[in-house]
Amino acid sequence: MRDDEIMTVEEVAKYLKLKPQTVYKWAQEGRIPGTKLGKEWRFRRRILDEWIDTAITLSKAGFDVMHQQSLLAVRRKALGEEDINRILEGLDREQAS
Amino acid sequence: MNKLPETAPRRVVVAPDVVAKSFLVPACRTVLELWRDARIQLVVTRELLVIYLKVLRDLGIPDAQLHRWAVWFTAKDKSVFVSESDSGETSLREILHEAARLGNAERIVSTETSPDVDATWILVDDFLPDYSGHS
Repeated sequence: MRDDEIMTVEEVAKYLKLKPQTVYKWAQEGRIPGTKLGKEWRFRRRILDEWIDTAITLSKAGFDVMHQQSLLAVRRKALGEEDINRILEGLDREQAS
Repeated sequence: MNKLPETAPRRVVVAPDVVAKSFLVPACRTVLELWRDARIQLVVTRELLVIYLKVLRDLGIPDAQLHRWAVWFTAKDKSVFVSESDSGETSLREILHEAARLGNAERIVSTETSPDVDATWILVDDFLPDYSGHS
């Protein structure tokens, strides 16, 4: 399946494992990114992937995963409160200069 | 039964120290959880976004995660993103105040005390009791 592929309601429903009626309803409500060409809805796969990635990122669980993975990165760098304070002080100096 | 009217989340500016210390200090993490749970809405200007991402990068957070943070900082329902700001403010404190002014934020939340008398500025520990029911 290509990134720039144009998809129908039925193909999107299959791809997202939803009922076609749900995809159609969401398209009508503007909840899923697509465009009407004449009487038919059309969708681009790349845009759908970005849309679903963003929706997952902006969920509560998505926040927790983001924060947890960021915490692991901070721990890998073995930064303590003093190091963080130094970074923040540097920031204030940069803004002032 | 009638639904109780929902109150809009309070708009606040969160100082970069709160974001950075959320990885070490539970109270700072709680402020971000209020944001996660739509109890507060962050006011973010373009300048502030750059500062948040710089601090997070300096903490060692990789680009893939920075992208997700940027999505949160600019998401319509989570934050009030003021993209047209280019105030030329020189200090971090001025940038925070400018963000509060542009986004009509009630508060600037920080772990550091303001050197001036400032009704907008509030310490994390003084801010959280308003949300004591939050878990």
